[in-house]
Parts: sequence; structure tokens; C-alpha cells
Amino acid sequence: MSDKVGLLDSHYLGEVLKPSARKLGERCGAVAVDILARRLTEYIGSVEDDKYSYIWRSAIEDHEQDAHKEDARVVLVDAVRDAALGATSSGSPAALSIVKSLLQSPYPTLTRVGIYVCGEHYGTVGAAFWECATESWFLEVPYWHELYWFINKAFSRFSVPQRAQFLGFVEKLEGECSDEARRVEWDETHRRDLLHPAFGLGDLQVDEKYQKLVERWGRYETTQTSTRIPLSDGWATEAPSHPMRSWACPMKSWWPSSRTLCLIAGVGMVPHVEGSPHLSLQR
Amino acid sequence: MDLQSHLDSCIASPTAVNREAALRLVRSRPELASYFVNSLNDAVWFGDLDNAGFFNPQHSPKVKVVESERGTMYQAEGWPALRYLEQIAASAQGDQATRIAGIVRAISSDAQQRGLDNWRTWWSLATVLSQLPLDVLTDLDVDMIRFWLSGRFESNMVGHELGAKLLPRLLDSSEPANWHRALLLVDALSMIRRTGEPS
Repeated sequence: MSDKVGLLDSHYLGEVLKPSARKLGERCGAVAVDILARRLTEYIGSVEDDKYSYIWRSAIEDHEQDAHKEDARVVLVDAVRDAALGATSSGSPAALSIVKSLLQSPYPTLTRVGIYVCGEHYGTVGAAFWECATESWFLEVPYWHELYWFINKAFSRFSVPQRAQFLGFVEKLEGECSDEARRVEWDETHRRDLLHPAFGLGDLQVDEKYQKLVERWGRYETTQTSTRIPLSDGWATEAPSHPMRSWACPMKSWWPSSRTLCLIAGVGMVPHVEGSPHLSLQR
Repeated sequence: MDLQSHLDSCIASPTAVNREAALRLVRSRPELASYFVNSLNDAVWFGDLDNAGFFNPQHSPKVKVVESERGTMYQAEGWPALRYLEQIAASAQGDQATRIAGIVRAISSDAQQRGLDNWRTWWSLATVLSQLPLDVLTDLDVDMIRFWLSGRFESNMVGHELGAKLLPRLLDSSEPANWHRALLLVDALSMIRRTGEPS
């Protein structure tokens, strides 16, 4: 829980903001998002304090596993999200500017909100994602949940250059692996996981790339290497034939495992999970 | 009981003669004032009560401090005249609405000057303000609201009243000035209590 105390208890703050935040964004645009985002960062503290936002906020969408529903930070994430959705429901330079401001925030939580909004309103502000995208979003666990769903929701609407940019990020990514012998394994399984949300959406080339990686690195059950697709009780098995049918549900129950926590904490070596490679990531 | 029955009959038929009779009775028997005002819910009485000084800030109650075995307790007394304003604010229009907004500001300003911090008064004023026509509100009213919220006692009910009732009305308005006031209100409602401030 945040150590900051509001004039209103977080429960009452939520009661007040929940029904009005979206309309506030529709009516007031960037100013509304700025005010709420600034208040959120006051509650969070420094940028450094925001490194572990996924602990108190597992997903930007409403989520049954959010552990601190009565935390003012959670209430304000909802409010920033809803105001941003309201402010970007129709396309305009102002709407793009709002999303860029979120995506470029030094606070990962606000960046996550920006990624989420891009996925929800890809037609109006999706271009902002590609203007601001950085390698870290594709590598670092705090962004993983939002990134996964962004790709899944928007991939079929990627333009040719956007698709190329996406595949460029996937191809070029390199995690810092403390176990040199398993570097290739980690990089390729991570690529597989990034392609997974786009698999089965009608792009034969992407499907082929994905299938090749699956063929090489196999399923979770057989290789015992993590897919880094988190589940509530640990790590997911490899994808079944149609991701949207049977994969989407467990994904929505995402909760970071202890392994995730250590990756984020920059410990360098992940704790030993049976069969998992010892890896660390760098930006 | 006879006197209360007399008041009841005046309230049931609030002609000018009956209103004057009721106020004359209450002036001579102040102990009936609370019963009388608490029984009113018709805006027709507003001018008479206003002229009779029922909304004068001098009546604004302090918070009572009660020492007990359980420690220091604070008791916020209610003010029946404000409860009446709560009843009629939604139907107030024109000059009457403007006058009610003026009463709210006068009470708040007086309380600020005298250091009164009665959360029941703030709650009533918030209830009144949340129902008034939007065209009688100003940006400065949000500064007044900040004062209500930042008292030393809990302000959840005050904030909830304003956030649940006034905020949606401001946002539903077609006037951009009201959207701006909605922003100011959200900024006020989401303020963080300064370190060391009691709650």
C-alpha cells in the first residue's frame, strides 16, 4: 500500500472517480489526463519507486487479481486509464499527444497505461506506439502483460511498416544472459513468446516463424524452459493450437511469480525454477 | 404539544399569514426553532427564514470537545437551517439559488475566520452546493471546497457528496466553464494530505 494518505480514503476516491474519469477525459482531454497522472505519480513517489508496479497492479485493465483494490494508486491508475480512453476515443493530434505523453513517461506504470490505450484505440492512436516504442518494452517484464495484449489486439491492423517494425524488435532483441551457454535458447524462446500473440491471426510468415521456434524449443512441458507467459500459479505451458480460444483466459489471470520478481529486481540471476535457465535481462 | 400542533398546521398551509404566525411563535419560544425548521421542506419558507436570520453565520455551531474515559471525543452539532437548505437546493432557481450560494459562501468564510471545523456543517454545505444550478457556481467555490476537505477531521462524506453529485453534473453540462470546474474539483478531491496533518 502507498504510504501517502489522501484527503479522501481510497475507497471514496474510487467511488468518485470511477463513474466520471472517462467523461472527464472526453471533456477536458490532455489536462484531465495530466492532472490524474500527476496525482498518481505523487502517490507512487519517485520513478525508482515505480519499478515494481506490477506487484500492486498486475494489469492495466480491471483484473480479478489486483491485490490492492483499495490502494489510492490502483484507483488512480483506473482514473488515468479511463480519462485517457475518453480523451482518445476520436483521433486527433491532441489525442496522439496524450498517448505519447503517457508512453514517454519515465514512470513505467504510465507507459503501461499508454500501451494499453494504444491497444484499445489502435485506430485512433495506435501510431503513437510505433513512434515511441523502445526495445525495453519488448524485453522487460513490467511491460509484458500490456505488450502481449497490445500485439494480440492490434496485430491484424498493423500497417506494413508497423509490422516490419514489430518483427524488427523481435528479431533484434537480445537479453543479457548470465549463462552464456543458454543465451540463444533464452533469446529464441523470448522471440517465440513475442510472436505468440500474433500467431493464428492470418499472417502466414509470422505463423511460420513462430512454428519454427516452437519446433526448435518445443513446449514448456518438454523443455522445462519458461515461456515467460505468466499465469496465476506459475508459468504457462506452450500454446495450444488456437491462442485466443484457450490461451487468452489463463493469460488474464496473470500474476508475477517469484521468478518474475527477481528478473525485474535486476538481481542478475533468477531464482532456481526447476529446469529454467539462469538469466538476467538488460535494456 | 399544542404549540407544535399549531406549527404543524402553519407548515401544512404556508400562507403568508401562517408563515408570519409560525415565525412569531418561534421567536417567542426559541426551543421550538429546531422542531420548526426540521419540519420544513417547502421553498416558500426560504425568504421568511432568511429575513429572520436563520442562516446567519453566527449560528454556525462549533465542534464540542468532550473529555471521557476513552479520551478526547469530538462532537459535531448539526444546524437545522442547513438541513432545510439541503431540502430546497435542488428546486432553487434564479435569485433564490444565487442567494443560497451566497449563504453557503458566507458560512464557509465565517467558519474559516473563526476557525470552526465542523464536518457536519461542511457536509451540509456540500450537499447544498451539489444541488444548486450550475450557473451560480464559480471557480472560487472550489477553493472553498478545498478548505472543507482539508479540515482536521475525516472528509470522506463531504468529498463523496461533491464527487458523486456535483462532479457528474458539471461534466454533463454543455458549458466548458463547468468542465473546467470539474477538473478543479477532481484536483481537490484527489489531494494528498500533507505529512503530519491529522485525519
